[in-house]
Amino acid sequence: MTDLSLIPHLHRPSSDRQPAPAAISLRQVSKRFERRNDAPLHVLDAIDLDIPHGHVVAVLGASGCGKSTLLNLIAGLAHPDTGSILVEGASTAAYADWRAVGYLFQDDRLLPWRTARDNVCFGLEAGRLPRAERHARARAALEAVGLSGFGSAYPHELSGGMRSRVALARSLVNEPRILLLDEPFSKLDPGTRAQMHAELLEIQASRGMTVVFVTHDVEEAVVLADQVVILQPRPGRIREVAPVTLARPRAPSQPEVAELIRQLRVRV
Amino acid sequence: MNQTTISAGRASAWRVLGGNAGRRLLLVALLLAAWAFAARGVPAYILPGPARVADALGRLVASETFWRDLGVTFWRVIAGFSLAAVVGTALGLLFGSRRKLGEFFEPVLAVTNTISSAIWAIFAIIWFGISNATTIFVVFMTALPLILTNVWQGARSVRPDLVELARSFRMSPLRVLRKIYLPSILPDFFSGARLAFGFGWRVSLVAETIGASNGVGYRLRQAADLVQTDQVFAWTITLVGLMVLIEFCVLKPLESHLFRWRRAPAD
Repeated sequence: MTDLSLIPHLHRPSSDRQPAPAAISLRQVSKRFERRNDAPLHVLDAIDLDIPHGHVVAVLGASGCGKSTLLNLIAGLAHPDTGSILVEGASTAAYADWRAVGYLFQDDRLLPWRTARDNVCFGLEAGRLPRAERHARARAALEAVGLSGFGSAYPHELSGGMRSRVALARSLVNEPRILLLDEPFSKLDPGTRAQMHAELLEIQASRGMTVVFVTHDVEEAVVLADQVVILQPRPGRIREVAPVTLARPRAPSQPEVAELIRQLRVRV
Repeated sequence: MNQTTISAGRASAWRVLGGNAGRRLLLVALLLAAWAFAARGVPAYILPGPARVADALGRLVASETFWRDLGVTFWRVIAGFSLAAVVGTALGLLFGSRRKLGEFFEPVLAVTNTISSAIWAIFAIIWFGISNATTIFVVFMTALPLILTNVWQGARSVRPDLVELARSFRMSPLRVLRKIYLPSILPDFFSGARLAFGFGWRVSLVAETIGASNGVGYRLRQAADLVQTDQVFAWTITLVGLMVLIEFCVLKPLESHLFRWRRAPAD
């Protein structure tokens, strides 16, 4: 496996030699699920991974290789059987600032009975902010994803792309330092998807967020990521970590980008 | 919304009658005519005609006990219904979210559903005598299984992905209950509550005929005992009118306000 701290990065200032604690680090993480009439399913096996602050990391692999489980473990929604996971230097059991970790799920998971604005507000309702403050922040978050003016629309009145944006706004409304994405754009049409990629990168760059996203799409991984972590299935192990140092913005039509996509396709 | 498209084929025949309101008026007129026709030559104590009932209704509304009787019955129904709504919702949520517990208690609900309201009324007389509690108990026991069943079913179909979403924001279990479970079960609760209120209202009269010394049910029995059939009719019309009023002035507007998010997209 490549040592991530040695990879030079043109756009990110965080590759200093000083061993600043990684935003996320996994050590020998394994996870298996017990099955009723079968041997336990080994989902993840001995995963070692360090994700520096401000990096965009793609976890690439076929479906069923434990990508979503990996995100759930990092988000503290599930716990590893062995090994340890540190988020901003603290183990997931002890980590206290979960509002700094945003999670964007595979489907938009909007509450159908709430308007777009109130769906975004949902992200703030675990805390104690006064209502007016919540509404102001939700409006700002909707504006950041280009949906000002749609705050009072219900989810069924919005297109797929707009619903994705509302979900993105909801995961950004707490101003997270870490954003986890589980193939959130996989159901969008290619044009909308490219647009969401551009907006995500813009928001990421302006806030210096650490982004971990899971995908089975090599193209998406190459367009977005600083590093592509390739998982192999059953049990899920890291096969390779490939740095992507191409200048942004990247498009699959650019020859270097296309070449890297081609190379990675062979290795997945 | 859909009825208009379904009946579009026959619309031309109906248009002659001048729309929905016109059709309703025609129906009422037909029923009144049939009633008047049937009442001809029949003694008033068996079937009083519309005119005689209208007269009785006027005297009834003017009588000093009318509003008090209506009010006391209404109060008993509301009390029994509200208790059933609170208990039914709490139990439904509990059984729906704790599957094992729900499966364990399911037979109790099935058995309770087979017990007639009249049997509850008799038990109520034995336990509570002639008192408000008798009617409230009967309404409660009738409404509870209806609300419980609906909420239970709703709680079982709460989307786990939304619960996980709430967990990803570290919401406390109480907030998950309030922000995911309660809104999710609201449509089921509403249809259960509507049914329960209708049933509760009807059985309250049965309970009052045997277990109360005032209220609409008591007056109905009194009128029947005195062979004042026109009074019985007058009360019946009052009750039907009241239910229609509640349906159109409370339930329908409430429903369309609560479930405005389900309205089809405008296009």
